[in-house]
Amino acid sequence: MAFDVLIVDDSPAMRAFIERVIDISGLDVGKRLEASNGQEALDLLHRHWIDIILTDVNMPVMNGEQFVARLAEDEVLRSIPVLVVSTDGSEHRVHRMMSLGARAYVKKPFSPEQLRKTMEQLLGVEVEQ
Amino acid sequence: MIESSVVHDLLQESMQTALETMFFAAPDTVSMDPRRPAGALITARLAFRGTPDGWSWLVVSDALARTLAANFLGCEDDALLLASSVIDVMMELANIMCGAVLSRMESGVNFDIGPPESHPVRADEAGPDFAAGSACSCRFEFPEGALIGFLAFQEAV
Repeated sequence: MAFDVLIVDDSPAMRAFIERVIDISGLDVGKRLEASNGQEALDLLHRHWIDIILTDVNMPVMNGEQFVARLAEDEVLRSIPVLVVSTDGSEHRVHRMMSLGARAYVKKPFSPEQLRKTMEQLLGVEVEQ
Repeated sequence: MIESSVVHDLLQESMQTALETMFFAAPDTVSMDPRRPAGALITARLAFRGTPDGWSWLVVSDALARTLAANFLGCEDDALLLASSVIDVMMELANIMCGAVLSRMESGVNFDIGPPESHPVRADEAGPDFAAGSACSCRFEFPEGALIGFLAFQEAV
């Protein structure tokens, strides 16, 4: 079964990097959607079903905290696993995002292997390397 | 008060980890030399608020910036990269560098990192005084040029 992925980050370079990591991960990925902030992501989520969300924290318009909080308020969207990918690795921020409903947190810099393993755990799959 | 040697070690470790894991690049040498690299440059600056406030500069030789951006984006020919893509990647590297240092420095403190700003500096242009007021710098030399990270705080460290 192919997994559909949504990448939420205001940096086009970071979105491209994550997409590349996913491409080489061996995960069976279907649609890859991108948004540059939480509001754009919510708009996409109302039109497409997504299996996993990877989101940054510091973004304009709607930041990662506000986005994850909005997902948690929605009876349907709250079931989608959220993986936070951020440069902000402070204990305060990690605790805050996890308490809002994020399922995992990957701090930048990270290796492609680290991101793949975390996605595997969230999706409940294992890719043979 | 944080020792500048501690900040330097964190800066070096964070930058080296980022270069190896996300840019697939290993420097020839590492030093604290803050002198401007020769030739044209790509720079990225960002400010942060926290305890204390401060700012960070990333200064990269133009040719090296293109190589690192190509590695990051998986582009086999860096001649195909748009200048805007190279700048986007350097701003992301500045963001990663600053966030990693601050997170490791004060893991219990909440920092807010502002959006990075970038502009190229021509080879014949003086450019900003990147080292002014810096608490520390870390320089990575590659065959294509040099990359230097600067970190400064509004109160002395």
